Amino acid sequence: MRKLPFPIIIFAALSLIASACASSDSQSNLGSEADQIALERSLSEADVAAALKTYTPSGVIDEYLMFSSGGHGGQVFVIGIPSMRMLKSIAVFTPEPWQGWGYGDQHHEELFAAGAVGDEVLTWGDTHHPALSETGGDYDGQYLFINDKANARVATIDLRDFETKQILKNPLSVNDHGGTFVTPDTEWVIEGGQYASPLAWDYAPIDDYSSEYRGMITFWKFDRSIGRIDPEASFGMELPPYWQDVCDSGKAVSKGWIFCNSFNVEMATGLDPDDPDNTEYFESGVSAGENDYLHIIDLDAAVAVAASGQTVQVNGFPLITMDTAIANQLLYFTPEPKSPHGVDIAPGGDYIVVSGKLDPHVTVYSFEKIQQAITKGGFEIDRYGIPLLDFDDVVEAQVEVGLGPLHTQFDDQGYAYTSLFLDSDVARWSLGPPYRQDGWKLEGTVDIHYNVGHLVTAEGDTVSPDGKYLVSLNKWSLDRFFHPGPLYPQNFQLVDISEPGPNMQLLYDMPIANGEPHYAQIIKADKLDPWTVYPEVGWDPGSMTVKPDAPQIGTEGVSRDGDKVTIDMTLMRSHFTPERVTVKQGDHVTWNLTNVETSEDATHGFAIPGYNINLSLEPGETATIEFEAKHDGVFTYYCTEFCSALHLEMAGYFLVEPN
Amino acid sequence: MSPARIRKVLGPRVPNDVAQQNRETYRRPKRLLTLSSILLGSSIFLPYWELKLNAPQYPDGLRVTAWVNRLRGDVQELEGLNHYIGLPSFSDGAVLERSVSIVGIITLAALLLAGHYVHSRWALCLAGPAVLFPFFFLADLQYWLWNYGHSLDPKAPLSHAVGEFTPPIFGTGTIAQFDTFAWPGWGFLMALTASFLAALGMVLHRRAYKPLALSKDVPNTATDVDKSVVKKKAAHTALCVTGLAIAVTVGADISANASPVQLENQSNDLQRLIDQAEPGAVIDLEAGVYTGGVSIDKPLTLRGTNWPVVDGHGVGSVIKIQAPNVTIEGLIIRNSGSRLDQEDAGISSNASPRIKIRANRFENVLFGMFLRRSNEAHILDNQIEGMDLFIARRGDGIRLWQSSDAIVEGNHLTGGRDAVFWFTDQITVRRNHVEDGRYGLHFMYSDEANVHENLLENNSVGAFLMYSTDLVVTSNTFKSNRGPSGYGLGIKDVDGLTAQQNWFVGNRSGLYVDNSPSKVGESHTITHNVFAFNNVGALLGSTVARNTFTQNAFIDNGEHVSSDGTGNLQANNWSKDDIGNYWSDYSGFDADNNGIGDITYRVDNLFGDLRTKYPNLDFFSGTLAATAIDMAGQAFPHLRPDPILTDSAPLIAPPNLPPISFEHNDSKKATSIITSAVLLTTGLAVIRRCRFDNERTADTRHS
Repeated sequence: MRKLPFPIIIFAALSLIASACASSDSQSNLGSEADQIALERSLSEADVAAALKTYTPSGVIDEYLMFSSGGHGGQVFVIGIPSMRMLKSIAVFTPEPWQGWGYGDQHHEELFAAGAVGDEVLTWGDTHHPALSETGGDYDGQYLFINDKANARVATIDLRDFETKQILKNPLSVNDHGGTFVTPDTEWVIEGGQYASPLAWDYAPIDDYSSEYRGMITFWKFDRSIGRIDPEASFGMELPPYWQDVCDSGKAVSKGWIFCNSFNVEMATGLDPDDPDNTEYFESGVSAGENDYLHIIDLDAAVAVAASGQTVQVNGFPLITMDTAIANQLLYFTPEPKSPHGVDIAPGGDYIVVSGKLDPHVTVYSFEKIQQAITKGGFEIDRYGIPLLDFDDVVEAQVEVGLGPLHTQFDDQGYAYTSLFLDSDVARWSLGPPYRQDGWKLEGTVDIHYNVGHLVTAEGDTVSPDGKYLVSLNKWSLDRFFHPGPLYPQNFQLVDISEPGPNMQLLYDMPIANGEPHYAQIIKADKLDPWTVYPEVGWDPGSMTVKPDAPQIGTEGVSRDGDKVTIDMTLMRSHFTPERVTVKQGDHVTWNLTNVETSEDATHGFAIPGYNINLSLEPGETATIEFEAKHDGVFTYYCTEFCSALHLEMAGYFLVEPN
Repeated sequence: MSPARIRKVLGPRVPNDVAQQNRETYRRPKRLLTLSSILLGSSIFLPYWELKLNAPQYPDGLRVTAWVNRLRGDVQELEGLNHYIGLPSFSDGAVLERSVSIVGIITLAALLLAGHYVHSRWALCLAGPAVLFPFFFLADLQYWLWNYGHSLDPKAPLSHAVGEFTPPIFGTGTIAQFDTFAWPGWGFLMALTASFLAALGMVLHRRAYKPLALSKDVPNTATDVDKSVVKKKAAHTALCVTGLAIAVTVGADISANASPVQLENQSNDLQRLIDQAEPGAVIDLEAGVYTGGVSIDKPLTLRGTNWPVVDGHGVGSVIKIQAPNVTIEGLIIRNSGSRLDQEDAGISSNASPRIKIRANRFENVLFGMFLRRSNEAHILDNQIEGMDLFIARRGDGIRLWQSSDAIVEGNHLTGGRDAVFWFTDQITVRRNHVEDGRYGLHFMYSDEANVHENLLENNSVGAFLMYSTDLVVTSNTFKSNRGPSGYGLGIKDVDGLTAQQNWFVGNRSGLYVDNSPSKVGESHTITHNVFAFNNVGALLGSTVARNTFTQNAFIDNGEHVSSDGTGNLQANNWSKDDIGNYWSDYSGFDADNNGIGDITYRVDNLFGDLRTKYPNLDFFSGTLAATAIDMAGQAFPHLRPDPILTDSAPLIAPPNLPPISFEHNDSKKATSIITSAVLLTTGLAVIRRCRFDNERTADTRHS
């Protein structure tokens, strides 16, 4: 290149810059104010576009809602998409005083008692995988299920009032992971185990691992007519101690089948304190083998087997043993690349995608090929006698996507999206026929920040995903936000996936400051139809019906029967009725309260100082608290939730006469 | 040999005018000879004879195909059957013929070519062998077939049931309960055609040259020869020699690589040898094929001479070791099973310290070597070729798990998946060549490793070292690794790294750094490396800090350094003790002539920055205009965005580039082909020159 005179170069450069800026200006239709702001805030055109795609003006409702687990915060978050605004934190396993969850409300105490282990009431949980209820493989916006990994529990949340209605403790297993997932018509809620242990919370020494320790999968029967899981009609299946991980339900062509991956087929049992030469931590032992097993379960057949009584009672719960499962051809294995973390079923139910974790490929199994392999027969068996389908017979494709693939979601254009933990990317790749003719290849990646675990696309778990938006649930936020001390928030990043081809645009970062989410689902907001107020005054959220003897206007009062005192109270702007309650120290108090409002947002709180009691009563709601009046004195109860102009004046005296 | 003698052998020269008038007469025989030569030479690549056997218990039949030097097909099955009726082993038959066949046929073909220059009757001697060859082949084949059929071992169980017989060369026959059908292969037919063409060529040859010899007018002396003809002859000779050299080399190579008829010894021979050996014994294996799937449960050495083969027959692992102090060397280990879930391997070990695996060839194995809990292994100078499967479906060429203190040196891995070292401390990985794989090297939780002088090329990722501490990575070449991530060397959560004198060439990202160093207070120095022709020379996560880059050469990368994320990389140092790096796009002055530029080097990417703001500018990417803008940016400070990095002491000239330490082991074939090609080119050049000269001479004559 011949040396041009310096000034000419500068002139050329400047004119180029000027024309570029000018041309951009002339193309911009935003107006000078917007341009001014963009300039001042050093926003690029891409930033402005992202802002426009996410900004939701006051009064405008989000198009989608994301339900995300809160991890060991024990709750479920509700976040609007695309605004990425936190709308609600649904309390489940962890008491939460603002929404009056677990601070005296009898109904909540019953729920927590149902989730107790023995008589140990647990006040936290590790929520992982929320599952919206489905009809015909599509979200119906009626119920949400969530698991507690730490203690093997499941909960049912009613989306009419976004409250937890049921907590069940799994009688077979100490902890779980592969839950909750639902079948396409949500007759069944699936909860898979994880770390193997003796079933029914029994004890066995670890040297008996292969004979005594087991995995499990539990099928909870959901009765939509009562909006509750029916434990009496539920059952479990015994699995080998391979540390099952994540499950998913088949849909469309694979409806009636359940798939789980596993990661410790090696049956590593960790460092042995009696063996000083043993340096095999779990992380090593579990990664020793080349393959683990994808579990393939014929749920329809299993249901029939359970119904015919071929179960044993374990902790009072029906269990299909491994031998029964084998004899009735309920369970199959096929190899999957070592220690994968997730199994995801494509919208048509035809492909089962396992993301490799330590293998930069995703492995796609074909349901049709699985069926053919099952019919063909002639299986080898694993050490427990479970039939092994040949890997080459059932694999449809393997696509190299990048380093550390963990989970996969789908959209409406035949693309799949896989999170890449090590690369800190999300990879978009194409499914093969019938989704795309020239599929099974990597299309593009988008950088995320940082180290993504799960990801979610709009309605991505259903038979008809919407695409459009993807949220990356990132584990490390590092330099994305101002860091408030050493405990950093998580980072949800919203990505625009509407444009086909290699381009995906990062839109927005949302810090999660009170939980560590694991999984989320996104539903079109108009599929939900929650109540604004409870349908009738005196509504019991526990039973989701009117309580006939709930306090109403006119029936308030205090009545005594020996040392049992019953108080019936109504709450209305801006007073309690009664405003004075007198009991004797040592009385057993039953306090019934009804919020008799029928207006939107007219919530009242109720707190009794010193007694650790706080309720949140929505319009129409009735609740009951029961406690011993242990402390004598004068306690002012008051409305904790700001309710009206005279909210401060909404108070009363609770007088406990000393003995 | 006196010149006169030579002249007599070479025969008469054709005078130019005669040649001009009767061009065809002299060309035709040459063409035929050439064609015949080519056909004969090529025939070695095709089968010469095929035999099919049918019997009820073999629904698909058995088939044996004979090339000139080897048998293929259901040879082993047939051997087994032959054993029952007392036929000798195939390896005993036609040994001499098979060993000389390739070279011999090539020689015959070369002799035919030589017939171009011999115009006397001696040409018949040159062409004769080629003409006779197919018939010789048939005669020889018939002899051996008769020989076999009449050499039944009377002690064989079924020898009396069969009786003596001669299998027919062509057509149908019967051997015991088998119906047989034999037919000539394409190779033989080509040789036959070549024979016919050569004969025809000879006829025309004699017709062309005999009259000349008889004529007294034709000058017959060397004195009339002019220089151009001599040159022409020299050129032709060079051509012939070249052709011969190529042919002989190729032939020798084929001979060498095509194993002689390789047949099973008695099955379980090798296992029996192992079982009968004393612990610590040395078992010497001669050439031959041994059945694999053997287990070694005591200290032992298996040493091969002339490349014995241990064949797994596609089932399971070929050699399984469960004992200390086992040595395996000089073997061809092939055909393991293809079950990933069974971890089928060439060599599989468990709890077997001090294994030595030296100078073996692994062919068509799923995992090459899978060592578990086997400390102090020495894996040296092996050739490992994986299975021809989709890359994710292959096994790893070398996989060490929980096997510390290993030395892995001088191995060549190709067509495998990864070379994996997990939970293996204090290993040395040196002078290995890993290509066409997925991860050239993959470390996880493997501390105190030395990685030197390896060549990692054309893999999806050259090396990815994660969650490991105290790694010394020097003098390696990471070249053309271009999978979706395409890192030459990826480092994740590593502390205690030394990275020096490495070449990062032509990768998507030469070096990728994620959270390394990870411990607050730790730092790394990265020095004397070359980053050249990568899309990105070094790609660092935006929160990566405390790395010092000094005296590296960044040469013509798409971007020398980039941040994976937004923000800058100024938490790292880009010079040390006032010595920075060489940046090929640095333009600055060095007024005090100290080799350090006086203007700070900035990775600004002003153009890139503008491009993000105004995507229309993308049109100008890579153009002079873009360069101009970047230059403008340097001249006008207020236009400059925050730099990704600044190097306050950029080197004016590249530092002494590190030596390329890895030598390719080129095969002899390559060198001889190159030599031959050179000769060929020279020869052709001379010919052209001669022709040119001739034409000029001819022109001058006629003009």
